Amino acid sequence: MGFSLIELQVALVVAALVALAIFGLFRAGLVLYQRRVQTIAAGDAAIALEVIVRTLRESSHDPGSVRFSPEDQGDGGYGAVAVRSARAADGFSLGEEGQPAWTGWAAFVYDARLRAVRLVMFPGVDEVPAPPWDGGRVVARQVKSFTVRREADRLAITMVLEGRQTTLALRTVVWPRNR
Amino acid sequence: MMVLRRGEQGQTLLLLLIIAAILVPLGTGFVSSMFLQQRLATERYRAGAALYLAEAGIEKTLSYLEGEAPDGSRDASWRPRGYSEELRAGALRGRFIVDVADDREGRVSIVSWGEVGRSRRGIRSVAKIAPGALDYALFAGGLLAIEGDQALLSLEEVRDRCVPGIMVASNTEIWFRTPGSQVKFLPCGQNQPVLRVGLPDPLRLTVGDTHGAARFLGLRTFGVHAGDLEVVTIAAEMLPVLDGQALPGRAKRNEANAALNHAAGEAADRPQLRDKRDSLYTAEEFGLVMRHLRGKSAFMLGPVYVTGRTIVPADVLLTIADGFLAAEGGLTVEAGGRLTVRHGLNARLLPGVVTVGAGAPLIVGEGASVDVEGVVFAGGLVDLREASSLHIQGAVIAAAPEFSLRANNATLSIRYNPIAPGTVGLLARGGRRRIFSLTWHEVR
Repeated sequence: MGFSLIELQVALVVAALVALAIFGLFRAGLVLYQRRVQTIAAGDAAIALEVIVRTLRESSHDPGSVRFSPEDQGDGGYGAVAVRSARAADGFSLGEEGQPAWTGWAAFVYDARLRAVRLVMFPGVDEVPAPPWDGGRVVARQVKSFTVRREADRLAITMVLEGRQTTLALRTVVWPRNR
Repeated sequence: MMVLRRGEQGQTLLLLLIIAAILVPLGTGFVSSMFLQQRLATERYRAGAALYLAEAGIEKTLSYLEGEAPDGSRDASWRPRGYSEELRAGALRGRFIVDVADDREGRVSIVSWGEVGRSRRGIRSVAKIAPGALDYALFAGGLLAIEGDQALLSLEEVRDRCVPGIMVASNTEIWFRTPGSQVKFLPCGQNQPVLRVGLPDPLRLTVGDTHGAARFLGLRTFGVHAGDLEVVTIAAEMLPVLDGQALPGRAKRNEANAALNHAAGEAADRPQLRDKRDSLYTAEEFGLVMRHLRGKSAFMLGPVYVTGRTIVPADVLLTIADGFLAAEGGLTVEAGGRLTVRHGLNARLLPGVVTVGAGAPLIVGEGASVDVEGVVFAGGLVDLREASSLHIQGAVIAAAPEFSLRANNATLSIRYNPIAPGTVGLLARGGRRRIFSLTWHEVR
């Protein structure tokens, strides 16, 4: 017993529909995967940016309390910044006069090899050592570029993250709150 | 027509089950992942809003302490625990909760928590209740006289974000006794060169022999270069009072000059000075230290307090680093002498030079030079004699109630420092005051 032509046609249509459904499913899965990657990357980037912003916010807006890496990335932007820090292992240090006790420096550096932004602490020093600022811990990964620019007494940070099929640009402006 | 044999029945169901088996975990995973990301994003948004609310709590507290507090007090005595206000931060509703407590030396500690939903973030600020006089580059309790053809009063406005301030104030009168005297005013950024002068009501500004209501006078009319002039009313209560413990206490704890004391004590054969570790001196001890330093470029470190009339001799070029020189009964820098006070980043809130006691003068002798970072506070007359110079990066308060400051053919140059209101040891006594934030950090 063979199949009639109409049975074959119906079977082909059903098979085509199933194939289309599977293909659609695959595409939807791919899109969902991309969105998930993007969302996770955006979340990670937001956390990284928050770490950077917190540190800069607690530093001083005194012009002498900010050092940029000498490599100008064009348009007055730099790939590394170091700011005065009063954070120690036991919390924020206060001086006898009630002002922050600036006990060291905190630097954020773009590491092109790792495609990451690192936080490097220099505790207990009056003057930050000259770049390159090695070591520290990675606060942001998959970073394509990291730029810090001075805008009056504020610091503008631009970070571009590039993952698989994903590019995210984040920008924020921080006003260091202490004198 | 296709006839399904018994063994082929249920194949569609099987196909559906296979598709469902693929779809369900994929969909569930996606939904749960999106749900998690959504929740994290919302939490982050709320946490950001909570921080802004905490900041709003700090700012509102500062405004309450400067003006009228919720309990109706107007004297910065408001010290609530758990005071709360509801606010909106963007689209979210939340609240801040504030605790205010007394700290040391006229400071208050403010902790503000911002709450949005279950997100909570805190900020701590230490603020000083600062006397209004420290908003001025030069504040005199009484007459302020710029005399002589060569006199120069140079004022530079360097304030946060170039907000123009009032630069000169006298509680009684300002004299520019000769037309040749000069007021040089360097405004900040793009600000108009308007010299702001504070005087009580009724106003008296004397230029040469002409007296009048300063509101209508321009100094240029009298040959005095000062750009435009604006006069505002001030009050005597803006003068600070000295904290009797803050300055001698710091000198007592300062052992950075122990080696110098040892050498000076050895040279003078004074065992007490030789074994002295602190920097709280009698006038005699300080005199012996100066004698030991004669003919040298002399360095002292940290706070130095002298309990009697103090003289910096002409042949001692004295520099004090990261500290101050405070003298009870007055301070004289002898003719041709030099006194320098320098402040590093962690010493910026110390005063520069202080004379303690009503009528305790600060005398800068003929041709002498005093260069100070930090506030100069004189209980008595600030007397700048012929060809002397006083350069300040901070502010000057001459508190004597009658004759406060005389610059006789001398140069008085003040570069106003915006952190002057935070200076240690100068307390607000009432009148107009300012709440000056010294520290801002997140509570973690």
